[in-house]
Amino acid sequence: MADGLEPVLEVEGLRVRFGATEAVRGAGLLVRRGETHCLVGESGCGKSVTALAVMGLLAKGAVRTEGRIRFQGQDISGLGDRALGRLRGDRIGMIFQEPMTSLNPAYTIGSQMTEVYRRHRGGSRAAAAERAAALLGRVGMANPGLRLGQFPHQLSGGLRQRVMIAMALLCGPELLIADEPTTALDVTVQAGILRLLAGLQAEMGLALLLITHDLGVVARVAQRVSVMYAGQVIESAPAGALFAAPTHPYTRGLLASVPVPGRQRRDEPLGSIPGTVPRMPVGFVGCGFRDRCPSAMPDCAVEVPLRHRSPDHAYLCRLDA
Amino acid sequence: MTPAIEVRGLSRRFGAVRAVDGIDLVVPTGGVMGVVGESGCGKSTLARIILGLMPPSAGEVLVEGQRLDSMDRRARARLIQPVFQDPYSSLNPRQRIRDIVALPLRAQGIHDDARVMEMLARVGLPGAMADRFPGQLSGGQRQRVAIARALVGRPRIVVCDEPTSALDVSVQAQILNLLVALRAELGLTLVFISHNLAVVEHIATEVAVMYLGRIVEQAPVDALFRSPEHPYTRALLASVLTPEPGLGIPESGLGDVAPDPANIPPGCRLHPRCPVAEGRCATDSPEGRRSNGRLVECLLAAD
Repeated sequence: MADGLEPVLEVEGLRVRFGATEAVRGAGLLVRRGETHCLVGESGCGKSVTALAVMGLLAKGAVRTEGRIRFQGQDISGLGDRALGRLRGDRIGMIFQEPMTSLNPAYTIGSQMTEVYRRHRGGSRAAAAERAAALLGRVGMANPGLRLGQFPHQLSGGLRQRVMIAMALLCGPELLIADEPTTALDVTVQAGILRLLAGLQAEMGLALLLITHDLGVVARVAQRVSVMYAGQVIESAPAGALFAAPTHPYTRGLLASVPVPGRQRRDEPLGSIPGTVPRMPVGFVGCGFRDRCPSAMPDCAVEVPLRHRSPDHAYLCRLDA
Repeated sequence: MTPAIEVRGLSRRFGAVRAVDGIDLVVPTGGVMGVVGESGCGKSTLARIILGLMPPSAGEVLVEGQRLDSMDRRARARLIQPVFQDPYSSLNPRQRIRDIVALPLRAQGIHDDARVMEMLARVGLPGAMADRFPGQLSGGQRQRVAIARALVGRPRIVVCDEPTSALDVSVQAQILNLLVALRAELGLTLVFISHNLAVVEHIATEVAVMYLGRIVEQAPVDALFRSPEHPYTRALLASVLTPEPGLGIPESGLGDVAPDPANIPPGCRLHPRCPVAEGRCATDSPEGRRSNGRLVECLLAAD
């Protein structure tokens, strides 16, 4: 069971502010070795900002005001840019949604991969190229030698994403953070990339933090799921438990809004959540979902308790499970 | 009965790219034709041609029995209206919502503010929104504006190109529910283009599956989802990740070589990716076969 595995990433009480808006409001996460943990939510919920804060890559204007981040037991919240830069791409791998924006169009795949490897591990160019070719083969690319000499635009979206994965794994990271890695891809290609990620994760014992808005992806790859809304993790549970017994009213609304072929009658409307995601001002008190919640009560404006449906299924709401 | 839309032998080339490559399609009045396929299959090009935004290289489009190219812009706009994926880039950021929605009416010489306000209410936008600008609205609200603008002139047909793809799932559900209700209320015919099969299954009455510029399978929605016959349709359906844990990640069988509309393979265009291709698939071109309201373009399905 996941319980026996050591935590690789621990985030506690994370708060990130953009001017007068608080994008992350006390979020917590625990990703264990050998586990795929999905962080799911709609745009603006703070899921990507949480990941960027972990990696020390927050945009200008965003400030982490509170929170502790531990990687392999070591507190990295206080590390400076250079120290974090040494971790990124080495012990912490990253994959983003659109590989075209993370790959440099002016350099070959090979020169970008060897540059990353040598920056962290040194060694000769030839040794780095050999390592890069091995990884390209590992992510299912035929003829890695040829690929190393190609430019990003010569590859399809799916192949570019495989290059990104190979690059993220070059130095043998312990934690892989993937932000919407298959969102820009066709469904037929998406399945291949997800299967690859799941296979690598299991084989290398990686801790994988996968950020997505797609509940289909979550259901198929996650061992554990954390649902974010308005800057907070409002529910966290093993994947099976979350889909079988969604407990926070937002999680329930979100699941009901996904069309599933063959599941609902076509003449019945889909479940939907009224209203839109709010921007949270700094100093906001109470439940961030209360204005859209069908079960809201006056006390929801005061304080929200963290409750447990079972020891490893937590939710942030006053309602009974 | 004259169908809402009839497309005959439609093709569109961009240099070496054959984006749409000989399509016949009939959309019955009051139906919802879902068009699905991977990026580059030509579904958006088909939408643009049907909207009259792009001329075909060959073939013709009939709208309510009339040739699209024989109509002027105004006549076309009265019959058929678009809703696009990104409401932000399709709404003029400097115009107020009321003026954006009134535009199709003004183009017909009608000045009727009451009708604009009624339409805004019908798509679920409070009257106070009328004087705002697109930048002050959320993505879902902007898509409601685009729908109001499409419907205010009471068109007969609406062509929706990925209308919910840029929206969050909870907002997507709101917009789909709205489209379903409006279609029933106004007796609209819809062409609904999407890469999301679950969404199409929910809204369409009939589905056309496109691959590299051709419709490879077309059938009523239940038949297509229950018993897909073309290997490509089967692969596409198998790739849909439904939110059901424990089912694992499916294998589409297609590999991940991207189809290239500038280099369409000879024979059956799916053969290099097809999990069940035989030798003749590399040389013989399949012809579409119709039976029981279903079209399938596959050499193996013909046996």
